[in-house]
This record gives sequence, C-alpha cells and structure tokens, in this order.
Amino acid sequence: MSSKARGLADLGNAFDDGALSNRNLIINGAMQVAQRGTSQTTTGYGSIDRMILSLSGATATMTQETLALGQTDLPSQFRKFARIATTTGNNNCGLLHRIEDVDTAEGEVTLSFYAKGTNPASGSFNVFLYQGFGSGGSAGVSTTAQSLTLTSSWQRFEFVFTLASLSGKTIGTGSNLEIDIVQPDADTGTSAWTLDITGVQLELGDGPATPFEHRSYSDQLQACKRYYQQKNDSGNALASGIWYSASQVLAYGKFDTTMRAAPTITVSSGDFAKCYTRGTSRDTLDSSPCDNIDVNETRYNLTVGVSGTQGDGTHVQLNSSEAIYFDAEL
Amino acid sequence: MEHSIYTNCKYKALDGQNTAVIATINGVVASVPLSVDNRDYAEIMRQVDAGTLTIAPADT
Repeated sequence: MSSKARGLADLGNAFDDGALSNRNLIINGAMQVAQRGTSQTTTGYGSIDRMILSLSGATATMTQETLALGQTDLPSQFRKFARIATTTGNNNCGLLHRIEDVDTAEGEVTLSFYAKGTNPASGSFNVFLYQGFGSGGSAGVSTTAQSLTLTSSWQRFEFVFTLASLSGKTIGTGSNLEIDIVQPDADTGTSAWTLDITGVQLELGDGPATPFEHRSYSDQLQACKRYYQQKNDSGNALASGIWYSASQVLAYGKFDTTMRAAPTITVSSGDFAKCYTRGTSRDTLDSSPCDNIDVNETRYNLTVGVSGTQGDGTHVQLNSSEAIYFDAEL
Repeated sequence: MEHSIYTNCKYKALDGQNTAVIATINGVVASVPLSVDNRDYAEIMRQVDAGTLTIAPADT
C-alpha cells in the first residue's frame, strides 16, 4: 500500500473511531456545563447550559445528574446526564436544544443520544427537528416526527431526518435549528414520566451515527458562554469608569467572550456591586444598571446610594453573595 | 416553549438618547439592549408593533 493510501486508510479508521473533531453540531451534548445551577422547575433555560426545559403546562424538574464512577452502562467518558422528571405530564413537555443559524444544516442529518427512563401516557416520545427562520423570516418547518420508546436501561438511539430545502426561504434574526424530544402533541395524558439523556449529537449526513464526540469541559464552557455567562464570585471585577455625577457612575466592562447577540442583563439585587471612591466604596442602588450593550461589552450606568465625587475615577466590583447574568440565548 | 411575559417597559437614556429598554421579564427587572438580534428586544418590538405593549419614555 502506498503511503498516500495508507494515510487515507488511517484517516478512515480515525473517522470510524469518532476521532475527528467538530462533527457534533450540539453544544454541551454531554450535559457537562450548568452555569445557572443544577436544577430548574420553570420553563426555558435554567440549569444545564443550552438545554431548554419545555413545560407546556406540565409539572417537571430538570436536573444535572452525575454518573457513578466506574459505571459501565455508558462509555466511560460520560460523567453527567440530564434528567427531566415529570410529575404531571402534558403534550409538548420535554427537552429542546437550539442550534444557532437555521442554515447550519440542510438535507439529511443524523441525531443520536443515550437515554433511559419511562414513557408518557401514549407509550412513547416524539423526536423531530424544527427549522426556525427567525424574526422576519419564513414560517418555521418541522420534520416528520419519529417515535422514541425508553426502557429502564441506557440505550443509544439514532434517527435520520430530512430537513426542508432552504431554497427560496428568508432567514430572519435569531434563526435556529431546534431539536425536540417531547411528549407527543396528540398525547395530553398527565401520567408521570422520566427522561434521562446524555451524549446528544447531531451530524450532517444520513448516518450511521459516529461515536459521541467528547469535548473538554473548558471547550464546552467557552462555547456555552457565547449564549450565557454570569459573574457570581465575590469581588469579581466588573468595570472601570468615572463618577459622572455625585450619584451616578459610568463604567465599561467586557464580557468573558463575544456573545451571539447583545445580551439581556439582570442582577441579583439593586446593591449587587460597589463603586470605589477616595479610599472607600459606595453600594449601587440599581436593579437595571446596564445600557449601551453590544456583543463584547456593556456600559454600567449606575445609580449609587451614597455620593461620590464627580469626575473621580472608579472601579466597580461585585458585592459578596451577589451576581450579574448575561443572556444571549436563542 | 412558552413566550416570556414583558411588563413595565421603559427606555433608559443618557443625554437625551435612548440607550436600553428596562423591562420586567417574567417578574425580573432586566436591561434589554436595543438590538434586534436580542430575543427579548425582538419580542418586545413585535408586541409594540402589534399594539399589545408600550414602552414608556425615559425619565428626563
């Protein structure tokens, strides 16, 4: 065999072994990153990064769970999984994931994941993709739904979908390709069910699915921060600026990484931060402190409770047990 | 996924220029950028255009 043929054969073997990178379009498919916390009971984003709990009238908790060391039910690289424990089911309750830009994929794609649990009233879940063309874009299109039936043992499931052609479509802002694993639309049963899931992977092409592409925690955390980031460590530096007046500070602070869009910003309380002045500091008195927000930075336009000196420079720092949240999710 | 609920929308301004929308989103006060790529701003403006939501002018 020539050296070139040998090289191609080795590359093919590497592909078969799942060694080639950036095959998986899903961020945080191994459920490693949970910046917001490890449990949520409200609909939307709230615990595991990039994963949406869709309640749709149901009552459920989504948690990040840890696999036992030495477990052999899943490949040994897995450490975490997501659990949706529904006490009162309803149609369209389940797990969603949105991939930025609807034109990321076209034609056939292959979705795979590991799952176990119990099933909704009708005996199975629906799995489908939804092409969302965004604000100002064409109407969204769903693929044909396929059926998923869980057992009490971990299994790897694989589905091939054919996405609608993008020809003639208009793509608006915030377009995305959504993965839905949900109680079927026609199943309004209220029976309790549980979905345990990890290793979610979406690849271009009609399969078969390649082995799950494991990524380091730091890689996934960085990827997640494009959509959401927060500062919640006491003393986190937020910004540097000036006392614009005796009771108002203007300061600019950078995000950890460039975000998908200018984020919506919330804080834990009005006195989330302190502004230093002449050997002391003043607590903020402002629960809506940010403006002039773009994808890289925000201005802190802060009302401060006790006066500083107009024209002085200042350092803005997070107070103990407080937090600030930057949300640019889809 | 259910839509968020937006109330108490009001512009924030400095030197007479609007710089953000301050809104209560699902009960939490938030600073929303003036960017159509932001899903909250896009939804707020969709509701404003539909006549179901108003944004109060900034304090002067």
